[in-house]
Order: sequence, then C-alpha cells, then structure tokens
Amino acid sequence: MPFFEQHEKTLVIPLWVILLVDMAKQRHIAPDKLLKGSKLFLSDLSNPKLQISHQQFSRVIENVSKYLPHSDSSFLLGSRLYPNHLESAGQVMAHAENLSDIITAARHFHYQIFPFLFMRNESTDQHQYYIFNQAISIGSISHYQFICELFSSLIISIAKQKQLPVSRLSIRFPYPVPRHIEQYQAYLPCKFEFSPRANTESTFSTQQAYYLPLQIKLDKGLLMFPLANANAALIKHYQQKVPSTPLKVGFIHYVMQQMVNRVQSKQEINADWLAKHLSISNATLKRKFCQHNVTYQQLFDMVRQQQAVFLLIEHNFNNEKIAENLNFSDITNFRRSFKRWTGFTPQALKKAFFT
Amino acid sequence: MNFAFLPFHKTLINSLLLTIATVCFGAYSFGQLKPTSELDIIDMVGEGGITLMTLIWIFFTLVSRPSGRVTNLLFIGLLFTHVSVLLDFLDEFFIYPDDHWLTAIEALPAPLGMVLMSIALYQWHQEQTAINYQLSRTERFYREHSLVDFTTGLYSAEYMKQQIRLEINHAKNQQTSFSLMMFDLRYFAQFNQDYGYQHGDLMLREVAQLIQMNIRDGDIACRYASDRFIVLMPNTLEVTTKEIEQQTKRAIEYLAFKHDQTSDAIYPKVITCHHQYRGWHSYKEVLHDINTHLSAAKQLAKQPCSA
Repeated sequence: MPFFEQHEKTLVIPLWVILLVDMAKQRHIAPDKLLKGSKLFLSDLSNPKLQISHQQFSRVIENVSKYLPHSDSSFLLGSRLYPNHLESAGQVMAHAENLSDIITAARHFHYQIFPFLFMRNESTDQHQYYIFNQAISIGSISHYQFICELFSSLIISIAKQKQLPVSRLSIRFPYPVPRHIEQYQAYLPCKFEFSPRANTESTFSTQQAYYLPLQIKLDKGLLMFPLANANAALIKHYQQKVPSTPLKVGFIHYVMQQMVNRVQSKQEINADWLAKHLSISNATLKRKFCQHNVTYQQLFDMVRQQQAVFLLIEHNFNNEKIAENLNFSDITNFRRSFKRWTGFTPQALKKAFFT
Repeated sequence: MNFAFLPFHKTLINSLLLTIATVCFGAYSFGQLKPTSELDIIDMVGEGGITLMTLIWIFFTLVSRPSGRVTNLLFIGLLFTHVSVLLDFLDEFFIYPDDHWLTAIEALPAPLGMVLMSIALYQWHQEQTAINYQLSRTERFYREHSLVDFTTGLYSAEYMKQQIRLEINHAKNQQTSFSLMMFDLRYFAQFNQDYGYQHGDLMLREVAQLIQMNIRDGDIACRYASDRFIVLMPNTLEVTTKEIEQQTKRAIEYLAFKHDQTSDAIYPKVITCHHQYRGWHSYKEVLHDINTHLSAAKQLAKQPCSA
C-alpha cells in the first residue's frame, strides 16, 4: 500500500508524549492518567525510537483534554516543540535563510515533524496559501481543534525565532470563534480568523470540523524575506543527517491527493476506480474509510467543497467559473451540490465569511 | 484529590484510630453479643450510615485543612459526635447490663462535640474573613475555584470575562466607565528555553504577585493567557490608570529574578497598555480591543528608538 493507516505504528514522536507528560507533572496530574487506554507506558517513552500509532496519540490527546482542562495545553506543546524537539528538522529550520527554505524543509521532513496534517499550496497574484488537512484519519472536532492550535503555535514559534514579521501572516482556522479566544490572542501575534459555523442543512453540520481546511496566507514577498540566524553550512550538515523520506503517506492524505489530481486533470474518479487502483476489493476500501471515520463520498465532497470555497473567497470567481473548474456539467448542478456541502448558497457563504 | 495535608495530621489520625478502638473494645468487654434473631437490619443500616458519614466529614476536614487551632477544634468536635454515633451503632450488636454507665453517657459526647464544632465554625468564619481580605485584589463578589489559574494563583480569563460583563452592565446603567490594563512579559519564550519551564512558571507567579501588590483595593487582576495579565479597574479615570500602569511596570522591571542559588538576577521586561471603556460594547469586543492595543504597543516597542 502507498499509505499507512491510523492503527499502524509509524509515528516517531516519543518527545511529544514526554512533553505532555511533563506538562501534566507541572500541574500535579499523575502521568499515567495521560497514558490511560493508549497502551503506552511511562517506561516506553525513554526509547527514542519508539513508534506509536495515530490511534494511540489520539487517545493521549483525548486524555489531555480530559485531565488537563486548561485550554493552553495545545499551545504550550506547540511552543515547546521547536527547535530542540524537532531534532534535525528543527535545526535545518533554525538556520534557514528564508521562508522558502523552511517550507522546503517542512515538505521534506513532513512525517517526522508534523504527521497529523498535510500541506497543499495555492496561490493568487499577490498571495501564497498553505492549506492543511488531516493526513491520517478524520478526528473528532475537539481533536482537530487541538491539532490546529498545536500546529499554529508551532509555526508561530518558528516564525518568531527567525524574526519573520509575523503580522504579515494570516491563519484561518476551520471552526467558529472558540470560547478560549484569549489563548489565540496571547500565543498568536499574527492575524487570525475563524470560519463561519456550518449551516445546519449541510452534510457536514454534525461534523463542523470537516467544513474547511486550516489555511495560512502570506504575501509572496515574505517568501524571500531574509531571516535571522541563517547559516547555509549548518543546514548542509543537518541535511546530510536526514533519513530518506518515507514513501508512505497517511491514508487521508493519499486519498485526497488522488482526488485533487483527478479533478484537476479533468479525469473521472469514483470508489471503484480507487479500489482498482489500489488492487483491493470495494468492501475492503469501504472498511478502510470507515476505520478513518469518513466515507468515500464525504471525503470527495470535502475536496470539491474546499476547492469551491477557495475559488469563491480568495479568487473571487463566479459560479460558472467554479463549476467549470470542478468539472460540473452545469451551474444548477453545482449550486445544488454547494448547498448540500455547506448549507449556504455561494453568495450567502461569501457574506458569512466577510461579516 | 490532593492529600498533601494528610502527613501533617498524624497525631490526629492516630487519636481517631485509638478512640474508635477504645470505644469498640469497651462495648465488647461490657456488653454481650445480641442473638442474630434480635438484630434489626433497618436500624443497623441507618445508624451505620450515620457513623460512616461522620467519618467522611472527619476525612474531608483533614485533607482540606493545614494543621492549626481551627483544624484541631473542628476535629475534636467531629470526633466527639462520632463517638456518640458509634456507640449508638454498637448498641445494635451488644446488650449491656441494666443501667450500665456506658448507656447512660452514650448521648453525652454528641452535644459537647457540636458545641465545640460551633466554636470552631465561628473561628473558621474569622479565618475566612482574613483570607478574603488577602484575596480582595483577585476576586470580587463571586467565587468559583475551577476558574483559578494553577500556575499563578490568580483567576483565569474566564473569570475576567464574567467580571467585564458585570462591569459593562454597571457602566451602562450608572453611566460610569471602567478601565482595563494589560501586561505582557517580553522574551518569555526565550526565558523558558534558557532557564526551563519550572522557572518560567515561577516567574509568572512572582509577576502576578507584583501586579496584585501594585493595584488598589477594588481592582482585580487575572492571568489572561500565557504571559499576559489583565487588570480591571472600575470607575477609574484615564490619568489614574496610566499612573498605576507605570508604577506596576516599574515594580515588575525592578524584580531581580533569581533562577538558582547564585545572586545572578534576570530583570523581566513588560509591555503594557490600558484603555477606558463605557458600557457601549460587548465584552468580546472590549477584550478584542484591549488586545489590539497591546499588539500596537508591542509593535511600537519593536521599532528601534529614534535618537
């Protein structure tokens, strides 16, 4: 298989768990509470090569939300990871000359530094967009929110250490304004916005988190902005230490990538094609989707919906152009699908975004 | 649950165990076991339950209080009550000879215990008044322990939101205004990396105390998030706010923070801002606004000083 699944022990992130355990200790919470049900033991964590599954880590995060009910756990973890706990990747980034270098490093080290999200990029005339979706499995809303907070606080601590003008970054979170907005205000000195709540009529209304991706937007000039602490020789040194990138990507990452490619090249895609492409039976494929908390149709809707919303909001395309881009035969059909995805008509959604 | 106080109550726990043992032994030696046919299940369950309850009260008193006079008094009062209840319970199992002194005095400890407990509660009230006074700059009108921030001992942002909502209503109805101040530690992330997170927490705690010391009675300080603090000042003019802001800032920047046993000191730097509000906006808008002021102050501080 060209992908790995949520129960496969492929993630080498013992340090993350150690940092979480440290946070628990600092707050006088017994460390074993965090590991409850994850089949991990404190003694395992001392093994630097320890591999854990997405399932196990999700369980730890669930415990964190339960036993460390401080809304700052995700932000704290994100700000503590960099640079020391990202190892070689952290060192490459710490010495990068410009943002473009950092992004290349991020792509290269993707599954070592942040296996939970995968990145696509888009651009308009002035702006560069980095779009992040869950890579391995579709988690619950609270899980997704934790991951988004963790990730953005990590990004910001990298940007701050490199003295990048963070006020020129803008992060859009895929959920409505959360209760603990103060954490965002204190930890994220960049611009940030939230997404409108999915309308109750939408396919995704029960799972608002699937509505949109996490999106980071910056003006293109920032990519080549000279950064602090640049050292090309050190980068070379650390790059040589890099283990060859694993070929396998997360299950959701793989499927979404296929869908995006097929849509862009105007080729048809459906579950049968995917099953055949992977040489597995339809039933097996269906079971795999189920294990990752999503169906084929939901994921496909999500891909097209995200593209439609991006074209609508960032490119300011009209319905005809969007329909054409997404291979819809006619506008009525597109409008109906759009309504089914988001619960809004394109114009209403646009309004919801800008108010 | 936190059992940190228990080790300090060894004497009390020993005397509790000793008392229970003595009472049980006394009942056993003076009385005779009842035949099974005479046992009354309902009475046994009822009185057993009460006995257990008094034990639970004693347990919670011991785990929640440091040792001291008020704790001792509470304990003794509860212990006396417990003895009465326990004797009553043991009655269900034993028959005593007619007019035995044990049955005669059985009821005595309870009223005595209750008198002692009442005295203890009065002293507890006085103690609480003293504590409330200590808390006066961190809390107003309302207590909710789940909103206390573990690291600094101040209330968290959630509590401040409630207070601002109250204050907005008040300002709307009474045509008054209130001020907010915000403090943000600079280079705190770097500090954490250099000296470790334990020291980071300690620094936050000390800064929190300094802020509390420098504000007035009636103002309240909360930890907003991370290294950011917020102070609410009801009925306060801009000039006064500014003055207190500068005083507090100076106090924090004079703090010679020690990270080890040496005399090397780290002097924290803070960014501050303040603003006056009337009841015209929602608390969300107010909080957003004060954060925007802080970001602006930060931007200003980043720019190199023009000579």
